[in-house]
Amino acid sequence: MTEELALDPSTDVDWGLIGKTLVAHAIRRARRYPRLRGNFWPKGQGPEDIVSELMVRYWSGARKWDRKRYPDPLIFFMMHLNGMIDALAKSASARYERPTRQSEDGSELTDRVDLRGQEISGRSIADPESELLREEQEAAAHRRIECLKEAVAGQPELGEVLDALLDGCEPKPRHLASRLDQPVREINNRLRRLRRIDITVA
Amino acid sequence: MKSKKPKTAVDKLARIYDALDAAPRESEEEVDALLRSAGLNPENVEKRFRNLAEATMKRTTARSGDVGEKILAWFESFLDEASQILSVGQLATQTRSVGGEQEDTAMLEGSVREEHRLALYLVFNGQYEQAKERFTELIQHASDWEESWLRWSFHHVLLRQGQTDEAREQLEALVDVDDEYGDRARRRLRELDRLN
Repeated sequence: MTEELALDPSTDVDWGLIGKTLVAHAIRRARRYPRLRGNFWPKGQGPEDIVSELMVRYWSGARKWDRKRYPDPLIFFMMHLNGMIDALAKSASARYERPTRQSEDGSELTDRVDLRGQEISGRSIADPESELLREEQEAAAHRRIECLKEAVAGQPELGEVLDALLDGCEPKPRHLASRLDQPVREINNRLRRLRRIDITVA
Repeated sequence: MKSKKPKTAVDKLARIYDALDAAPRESEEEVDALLRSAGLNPENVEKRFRNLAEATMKRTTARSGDVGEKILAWFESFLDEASQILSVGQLATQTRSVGGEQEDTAMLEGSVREEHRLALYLVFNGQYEQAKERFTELIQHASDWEESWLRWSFHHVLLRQGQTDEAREQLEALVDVDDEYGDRARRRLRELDRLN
């Protein structure tokens, strides 16, 4: 049986610290989407706005907290924040829409194209603009990966982690540990170092 | 363990960030650094969410009608009032100085204001007993007009501590005063009667 509660803002929790941690998490989450880099967020929302929206949604009781399953409110919020950021990156405003064909009554129909440039319907893309968008996303992601690689150039143990991930290793520390034949603690340390480097890479 | 190799750069980047997310939680220093990298001030962000929680709590309180919570809401409104009270005091001092009153009178009133500020600081800092002592002493030496706003301030502090009877005493000392504070005190006493 689940224990669902409205999160009460008067609960003895440091909401300032939780809010700050969540905003940082949102910034990090958005880094995986080139479209959400910098201030280019759909609907003019920034990371602080997204986190505020999330918190108020739970404080107001519009959504309930499954306390038994997620006793730590921070983890609970982080999980939902991931969903919000992912949805935002793929939201209607972040999608490119193009007229493709006409309906029987002559009005135009549109096929939506997601950020990665693949049509929702699964058909290949023919028009040059959507292809250009896809290429821009790819180029931005590629640049970011290259920047990270350059930043760890003098630290082969971190380069090893990046290479393993790019080669298809599962992103969990225990899988990386098994792949690189290192203790999990060592992998966690390397990931922490990578995270610090990621902050400094523009 | 090897899974499906990411093909596009976008997928590869997502894989890297999945791994960074899977590492143990960030330290507060790391969180602050991440915020700064996005051009945000960590202190301001923290304050924003504390204020948001507080504002949401006040709205909930207003709906709940709980006695203790109402008292808390009064105290919060007092924080706003306090700055206004200080401004009024400052204005009065300046007006009197312009009117040709003794300079040392203005200085004395300035000192009361500073003392009041200190008393408020003690409240914010959770040092209620010291704050109460300071308020009591200030009221004893205050002029008539200073006494009104000092008692009004003090009653909020007492309510915050749940000392309703002592808060009443401060209010009752104001009921015969023929100014705004007298009106406020009479209204507040009626509210306390209703709540009890």
